Amino acid sequence: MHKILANTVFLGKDIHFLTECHSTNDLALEKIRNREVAEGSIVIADSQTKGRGQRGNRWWSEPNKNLTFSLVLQPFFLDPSEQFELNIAVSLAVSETLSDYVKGIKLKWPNDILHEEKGKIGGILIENILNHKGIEYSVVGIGLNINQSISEIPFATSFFNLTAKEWDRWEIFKLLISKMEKYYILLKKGEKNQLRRRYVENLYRINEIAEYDDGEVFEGEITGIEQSGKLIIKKSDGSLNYYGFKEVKYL
Amino acid sequence: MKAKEIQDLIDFISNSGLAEVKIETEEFKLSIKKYSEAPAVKVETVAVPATAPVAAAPSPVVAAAPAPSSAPAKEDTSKYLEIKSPMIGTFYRTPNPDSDPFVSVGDTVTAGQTVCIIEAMKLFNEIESEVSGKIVKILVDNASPVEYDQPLFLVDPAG
Repeated sequence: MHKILANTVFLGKDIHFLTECHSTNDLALEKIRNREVAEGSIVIADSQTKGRGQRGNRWWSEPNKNLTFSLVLQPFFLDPSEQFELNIAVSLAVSETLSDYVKGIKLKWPNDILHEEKGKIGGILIENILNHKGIEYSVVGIGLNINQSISEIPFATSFFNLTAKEWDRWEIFKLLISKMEKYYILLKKGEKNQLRRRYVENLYRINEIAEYDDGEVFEGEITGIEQSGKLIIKKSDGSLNYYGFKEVKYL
Repeated sequence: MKAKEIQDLIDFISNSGLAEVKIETEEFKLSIKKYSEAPAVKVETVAVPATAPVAAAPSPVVAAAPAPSSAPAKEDTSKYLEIKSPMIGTFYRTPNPDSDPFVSVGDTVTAGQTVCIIEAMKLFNEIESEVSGKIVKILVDNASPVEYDQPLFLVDPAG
């Protein structure tokens, strides 16, 4: 395949297609080291055999049914302490694309995309290369369940499940990349506050009382995120608690 | 000016919208610059406090101040270079839980080589060494939290 994207300015003008690979993020990182890719390059695989969620957790995907790809970016305009902003921009791009077709798409902090009733539809995994100057490269990995029919995994779903029809993966990919470019440009222009506000508005369980576990089970309400991206949960005693990833579990 | 005061000033500036600040008094000259496309000052020796957005003017006050807090007391490490954390997060020595470490004591690293991962809010950062030499000490345990500018590795540039 030698398709390029016509509906973008700089994203997806260089696309590396693979029928299969371990992880598009790993491959993109390798290609960065070999100087085979630049900002805007995309690595996309029909099936991913060792896709990763968080460190070690596998992201399971049926061959030729879903979308798994990685974008190469160079957000040198972000300080390493601001990298959550990139996660925000990408999350918004994905949720906005899906929300054009399905209601109820939410962002589960920090980087899952889900349907508020049916569960997880995809995720984002960002890996950066940092040197002493700051962020040299970001690899934005995106995995979305598109045409896979999911019934046995609890609180997981696909675009097929949500819309009851099969989709052309290439068409969804094109929409995603064009949204991604739009949000990346907003970020580059410094629209951080606007993006942050929209991320928080679209958070799964925002301003809802629900159960969490931070060592002990409690009832609380997500009220937003702190500057570095930490999740803020208000407990019933009124205290505001700040959590990094893995410091709190959704029950 | 004390190390703590400098640190507070840096924190204040990095949270502000300012890109560059220069302060000059009779005692010292201090110039702080946030990351830009242009490289900041490189680390030359352990005593110079600057992996980072800090471009310290060659004033003895500024250059000497942070040394006591960062230099281990016992052995003479002055000939070693430090690889410091460019961010707050969790330090990992391996690319994945079941992989070998990026580097171990005795390994030779070259500038640009990945030495560890720092994770924050599920964003993973491969940290490249900016120095070349032999790893003589790993200063942080795997999976521990690290602060901004915290020394992670000691490197012998002659090694």
